Amino acid sequence: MTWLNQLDPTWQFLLFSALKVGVAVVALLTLVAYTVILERRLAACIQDRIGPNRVGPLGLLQPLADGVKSFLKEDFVPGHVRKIYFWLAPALIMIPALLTLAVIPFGSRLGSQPLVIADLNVGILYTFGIVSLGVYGIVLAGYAANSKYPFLGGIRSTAQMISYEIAMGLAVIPVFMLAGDLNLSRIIDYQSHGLFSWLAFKLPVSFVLFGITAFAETNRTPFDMPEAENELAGGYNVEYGSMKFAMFFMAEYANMIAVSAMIVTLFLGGWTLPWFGLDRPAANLWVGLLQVGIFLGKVAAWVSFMIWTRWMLPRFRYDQLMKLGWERLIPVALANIVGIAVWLWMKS
Amino acid sequence: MPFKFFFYLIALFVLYSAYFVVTARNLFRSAMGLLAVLIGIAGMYLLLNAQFLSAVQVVVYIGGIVVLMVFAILLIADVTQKVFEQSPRWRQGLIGAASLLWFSLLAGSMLSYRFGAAAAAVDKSGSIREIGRALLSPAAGGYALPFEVISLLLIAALVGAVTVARADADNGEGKEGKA
Amino acid sequence: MNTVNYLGLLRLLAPETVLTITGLIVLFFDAGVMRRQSIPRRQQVAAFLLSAGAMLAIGWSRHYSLADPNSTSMLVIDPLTQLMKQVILFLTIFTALVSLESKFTPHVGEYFALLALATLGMMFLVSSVDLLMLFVSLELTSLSLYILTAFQKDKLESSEAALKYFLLGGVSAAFLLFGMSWVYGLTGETNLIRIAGQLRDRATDPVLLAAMVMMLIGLGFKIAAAPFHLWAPDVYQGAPTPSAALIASGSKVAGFFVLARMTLAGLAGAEGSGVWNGFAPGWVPVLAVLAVLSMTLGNLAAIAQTRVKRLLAYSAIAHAGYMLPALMAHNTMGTIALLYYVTTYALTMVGAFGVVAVVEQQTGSDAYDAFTGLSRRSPALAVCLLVFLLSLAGLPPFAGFFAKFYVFTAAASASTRSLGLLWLVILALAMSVVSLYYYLQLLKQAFAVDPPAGAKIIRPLPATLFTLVFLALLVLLLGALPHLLVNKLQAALVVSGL
Repeated sequence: MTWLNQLDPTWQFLLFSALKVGVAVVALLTLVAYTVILERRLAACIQDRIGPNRVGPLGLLQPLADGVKSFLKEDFVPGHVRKIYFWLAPALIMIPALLTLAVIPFGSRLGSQPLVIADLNVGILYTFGIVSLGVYGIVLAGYAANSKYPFLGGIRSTAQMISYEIAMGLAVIPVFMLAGDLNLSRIIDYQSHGLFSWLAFKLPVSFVLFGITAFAETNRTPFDMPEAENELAGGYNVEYGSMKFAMFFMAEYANMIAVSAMIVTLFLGGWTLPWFGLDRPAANLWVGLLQVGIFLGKVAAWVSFMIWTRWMLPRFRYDQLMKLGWERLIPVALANIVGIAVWLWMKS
Repeated sequence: MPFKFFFYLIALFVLYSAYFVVTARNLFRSAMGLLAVLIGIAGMYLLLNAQFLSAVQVVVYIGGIVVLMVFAILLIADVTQKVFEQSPRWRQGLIGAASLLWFSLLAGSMLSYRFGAAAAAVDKSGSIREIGRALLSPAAGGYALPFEVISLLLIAALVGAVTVARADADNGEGKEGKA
Repeated sequence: MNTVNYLGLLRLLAPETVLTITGLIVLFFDAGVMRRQSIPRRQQVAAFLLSAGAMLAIGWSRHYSLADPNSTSMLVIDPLTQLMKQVILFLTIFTALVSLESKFTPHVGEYFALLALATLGMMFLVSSVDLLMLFVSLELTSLSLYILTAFQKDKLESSEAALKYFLLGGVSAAFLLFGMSWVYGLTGETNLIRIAGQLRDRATDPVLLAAMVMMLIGLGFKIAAAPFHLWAPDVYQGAPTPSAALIASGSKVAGFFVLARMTLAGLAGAEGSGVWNGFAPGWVPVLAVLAVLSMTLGNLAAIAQTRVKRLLAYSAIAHAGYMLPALMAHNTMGTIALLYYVTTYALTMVGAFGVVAVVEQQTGSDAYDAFTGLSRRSPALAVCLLVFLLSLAGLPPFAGFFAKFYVFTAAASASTRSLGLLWLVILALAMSVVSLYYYLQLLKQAFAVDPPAGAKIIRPLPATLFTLVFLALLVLLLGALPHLLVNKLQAALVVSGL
């Protein structure tokens, strides 16, 4: 390993960044595959079924089979679609999830390398910008398909994304007020003083609001209006098939993972655990790896929670959705900001 | 020279996209062009080391305003199908000539001036903390006053938008236009 | 005074603060308490609240402490700005009272709140000495005015006018901002005084000239000077009449004041020269071009009009042309002349629009025919109209005469050699004669022609009639005793040193 230390810093940085990017992307895609099987198995449990259990031990190779199947299908382009946008939409929809990962610290460090791809000063703002890009994939898909159901899906998705993005942004502001920084690594530092320094406990209102809006931003039930398979037959992705459809499908899960990672980072202490000194940057390789494991475990827990919710709750009606967003969440979020501000002001 | 290279690259991209916005004959395509312009400008900010501004640009313009525009365009379904007619040739030529004249005047005056090193402006883009302080400071050099005037501007815009959009028959229909 | 805090800022801006609160109160009171009342009643209450707030603001604006120039570099508070703010507030009150007459919208609270916000923008505009502040308050004014233009939703013309106003306004704001950004790039300053200091020794740089032209384009739009006047006729015509009154009066006052501030303070040293045979590049020749175009085009186009609001619009363009020479004189006398002119002109314009509002509300039209035999149908209104129009034409003993007189003498004696801007004054005089023709044309319709059979008697509301008569008397008074206002302006100007 000595040759590594002899490289000049620029090259070292480039090398490690490339490595981190590669590992993160591969890990994300693998996780996506296994989130799908997790969803199917959990759904089966909840509905008292067995679920996919034939491919490989416990059905664990099912994602592989699904992937192969997607590739073997004919990549069909209906005649009435707008071609450019039709091709662009599935490509666009994966980007936000991948970009979000760039600023999320998924561990303290391995050796001398911090485990975050880009330690931006404006970390959270960046993620919000990226998350808001997610809507374009759906809108473009809806517009490109040039038929009714996808179109309605696209419209619903824009309205929903905008409405809930405001509440989401407002919900996070108290986090900055307490932590005093937008950098995600600093926010984790702030949470590394015992269990009750986790922002989920310090800012329960923000946590709940952010949790709710996270469902809406990822189009998960009870907010899956853009897909609404019983009214819109799947919504924005009706006209898609084969690998293009698979992209939309994967993007949904990738977005779930990304948003879970954000919640873990912002509210659940990131890669830290308040016991055994696991809330300090790792001293050696094994602790470093363990902390990555802790991070992944927390993400998996939140993802499972999202899946569980999906199979337990019915979908909102459109007007209920709007009403909840504008008349409940946003006022509560505003009141929360004012409340925290007053509390901080009294304390100082 | 990578800075110069990227600068011209982004500038070209922004200019071409802006041209596309104006000339596209379908409203949806125009909106997509506008999206490209705004992304380019966010990139420009990033190039100038204004990370915060760049992120805000993405959140506000790309994530908010253009999405709203697209939403409005989609709701007016006819517009997505419609292809606008172009102005007659002679008018296009005239506009082109006038723009060219204006551009050469501006460019000429720009080129004739010997710009020194960067103007002696205080660099306040460094940290978000400083931006926040400057934005809300009532003392000299602070921007509390314009900040408050802008909030009045937003009230005016809000009241105006609601009034203009709301149906005049005061009850019942008011709830529609909220999304 | 290093520790400027928010409270200090609020105290410094007490009139603005009062008006802000008034606007919000009007909005919420109307939406909350007055919801179920009839529209005229809501109008009365809202107009009363707004006027009361504005009166309070006027009262407060008389007690100010001279702001320490270092305490805030964005604003200047001195006798002159306070005086102009009072003028603007009075104009708003008159507009609000005139609004009582017309029924064009069910959104009463919003309308009066936007009146307050527009006024607020103008007040900030008057005070600002910083490019940033100037632009922001200009946008506040413009945006409120765009919306006020669009308020008559049952009339297509109103929306069309608002859209035109908005689009052209947006373009002009872009020019203004682009010019400002160049100036900032040249100097690294946004404060007008410091900019002037920086620019003193490079007044004729092509870059500065280009920036200056762009800023003047932006402000030229605001004062509706040709060739940036295209919006004015349509907006005056399409907007609800009270909105048009505010656009023609308050926004004109603020626009000219800020133009004066920008040129006299910010671009001091870059005047150039507009003297015949001796042109030199700078803002004076640019304004000279605007003035010539405005006077000629405004007056000639006004002759061909058949609707009174359009007539007033073109005459407004012409009046912008008359006022510019006072600015070009760039001496104290010129500035006083300009401010006197724009104040009396704004008062007259509110009155004229008030008369039109009454006639339009009761006959449904503002065409010349609607004014036929007005002296028989409503003598009081007809006399008011006579006063306002003759004052606009510049006949003694009305305020308009002295306004023109001051401006022309200031311009003619601006430069000691070769009689300075005399050529402009001669043109302006010739054009005033032209303008007399179309004002008299309308007055002939009102006084000499018999009303058509079956024409209704026109009965304005008492409050409106009172306002109009008051305005007419004011115009007469300022014409008879111009020194009342001139002395005040002079005293204020000496202190503020603009």
